[in-house]
Amino acid sequence: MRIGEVAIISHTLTEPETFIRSICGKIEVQNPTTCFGRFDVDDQLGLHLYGVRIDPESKSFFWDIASRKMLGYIFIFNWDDRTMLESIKPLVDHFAQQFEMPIVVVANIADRSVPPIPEKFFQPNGIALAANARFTFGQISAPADAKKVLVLLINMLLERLD
Amino acid sequence: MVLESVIDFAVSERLELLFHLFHGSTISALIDRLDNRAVAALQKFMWEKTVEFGIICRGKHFDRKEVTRKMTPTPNYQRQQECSQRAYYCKGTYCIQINPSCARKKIKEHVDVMAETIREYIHLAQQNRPI
Repeated sequence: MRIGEVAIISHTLTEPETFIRSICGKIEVQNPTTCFGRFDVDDQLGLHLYGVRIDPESKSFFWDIASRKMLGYIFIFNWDDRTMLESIKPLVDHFAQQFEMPIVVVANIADRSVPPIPEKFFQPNGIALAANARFTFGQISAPADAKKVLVLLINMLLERLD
Repeated sequence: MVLESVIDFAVSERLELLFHLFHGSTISALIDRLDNRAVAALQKFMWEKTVEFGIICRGKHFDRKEVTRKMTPTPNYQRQQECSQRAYYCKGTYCIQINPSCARKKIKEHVDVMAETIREYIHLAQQNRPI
């Protein structure tokens, strides 16, 4: 079986855990800074989702080593939480500048039925931030929204084949 | 690979801009903390988003004039600033280098117009009405 790895990064571990639970149904492994979930697409392909809490103490070389094998990165912040946005910004820049792998930044909203802007402005492709980075809204606790985020990331990978 | 445009106006700054835009805050205030190259790149990014949102909202009826007509025409702006340069110099990529304060003033106006236009598109889409 081939395995694809995706990192889900946020200010706390709660958001990656919620996201992974929405996709995989359960968390396989968890510790204070990381969590892990597995989603088998079929008997040939599996996705491993690694949830990571941003540690201000960790050095960029840690990410350089940890991120080389990843298919892409999903950053999550709560839409009305400015502190969470600030905490992901340095890493978003680091990844966008150092790696070509796709980045999706998700603004997590409380109620998917009332997004801050109409869906047609950010679905299905997100709002382009750069060649390898998109922004979108979604309620990460809703499996339908979490799957849309994952599909967006995979579509960005496929677009690179063109 | 390092993308030059990303360095000029970092992805995190673009994210910040969208955060302010969709929360209804003023965009032009962001300009004061950016260097000249980033200001020019911010203007370009805002124009791209305005066109994208305009096309999504208006489809084939989108016309760039519905954005630019709200901006002070360049000859008028130059007169106001007592500027004797040629009109085609009066844009972010050129004047931002030789007269940054004047260029920043003009770009701030344009960026606020673009933000207002994007919010109009959002409002119209929320109301599900044509412009």
